[in-house]
Amino acid sequence: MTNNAQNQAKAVALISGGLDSMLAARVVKDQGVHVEGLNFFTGFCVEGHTHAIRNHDRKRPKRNNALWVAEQLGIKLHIIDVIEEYKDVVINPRHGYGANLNPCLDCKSFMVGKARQWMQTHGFDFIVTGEVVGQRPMSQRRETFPIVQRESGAGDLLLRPLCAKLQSPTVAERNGWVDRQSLYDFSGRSRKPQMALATALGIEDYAQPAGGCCFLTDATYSRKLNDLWQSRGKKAYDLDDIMLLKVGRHIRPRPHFKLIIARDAGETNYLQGYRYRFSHLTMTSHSGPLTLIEGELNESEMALAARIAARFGQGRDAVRVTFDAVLGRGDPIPLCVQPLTPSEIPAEWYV
Amino acid sequence: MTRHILDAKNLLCPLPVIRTQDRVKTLNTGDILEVRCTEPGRTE
Repeated sequence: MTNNAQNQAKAVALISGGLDSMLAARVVKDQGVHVEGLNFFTGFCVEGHTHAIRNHDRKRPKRNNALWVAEQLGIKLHIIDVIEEYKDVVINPRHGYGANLNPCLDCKSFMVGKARQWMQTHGFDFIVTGEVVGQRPMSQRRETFPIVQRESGAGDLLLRPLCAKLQSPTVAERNGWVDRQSLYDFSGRSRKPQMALATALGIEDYAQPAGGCCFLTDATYSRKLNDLWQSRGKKAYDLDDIMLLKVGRHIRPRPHFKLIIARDAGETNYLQGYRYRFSHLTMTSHSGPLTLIEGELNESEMALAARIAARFGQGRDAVRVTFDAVLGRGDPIPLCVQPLTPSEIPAEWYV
Repeated sequence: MTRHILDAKNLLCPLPVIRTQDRVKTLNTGDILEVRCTEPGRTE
């Protein structure tokens, strides 16, 4: 079963960029197993996107946590684009959603299943995850562990080093590829055991423990995605849709169109890349954000959109604000409007 | 030798990396791949 001259077992570890998966991979690697990491890009990964777009976030050093973890561990990382396949997980989760639109249990089964396929294609022996029993209310519970093993097809090829002692021995333990006694029995929501292990292993820097790495766990983002689905009358999305949900203020004054208003120059710069695909408003009389308009609208509705957008530029208190308005794929047309007052923008328009 | 262009403009990390890694796998020895990005972390 093992593949190289030294009879060294090979494990593929799911690497999110957080502490648990880092520890799990490290523990197995320290036992002499050859470990490579897998990181799946779903389109909903929080990883650095607002950071890359927004002005104030750019002041912090930027890093991709999964790549950084792999570098710290000295392992190879494979980042896999699963955007298309992942749609079915988000749109039709067999086990439903968590507090927001997070299909965590289906997601875990999906990712472990992808790891199983990768493992078999690349001649690896087992799969490692940083799961801890009881750590997460939806996907990491004693009752859900067997579901992930069954639905992913991984069965007992899946080793969870941080709580392995609380589980039945897996293939890796039975074959002696790892020493079960050197694995762990962490359980529950406390982060203290992981932090203590990190300290014991000399790991001082790591991404914030238990920090969400997926926008689908975010209430605001989920509300925007739900609004998108409702406005289209069906649960569907493409990559641009879900990227744009991460950017700007979203205001829907009418069911058939919404405004995406940049919140700073960084977002305006980012939205510039999309403006040819949308009706849009560029403020000309004052300094102000770029506004994209998703949906079909007529000229009077464009004037309403401009009055809303005017509220978010330097001319918010001016009598008149002028825009270059592009409707559909038409040419820019000057449009002069009076900004709405705050009370004229109902709270329910904000998505 | 063939010159290829990968348009990764407006894609955010890690997509430019993923698209580049996937395209590199299809190249022949001596081919040149030019990747066009706007992501601020592209050179890091």
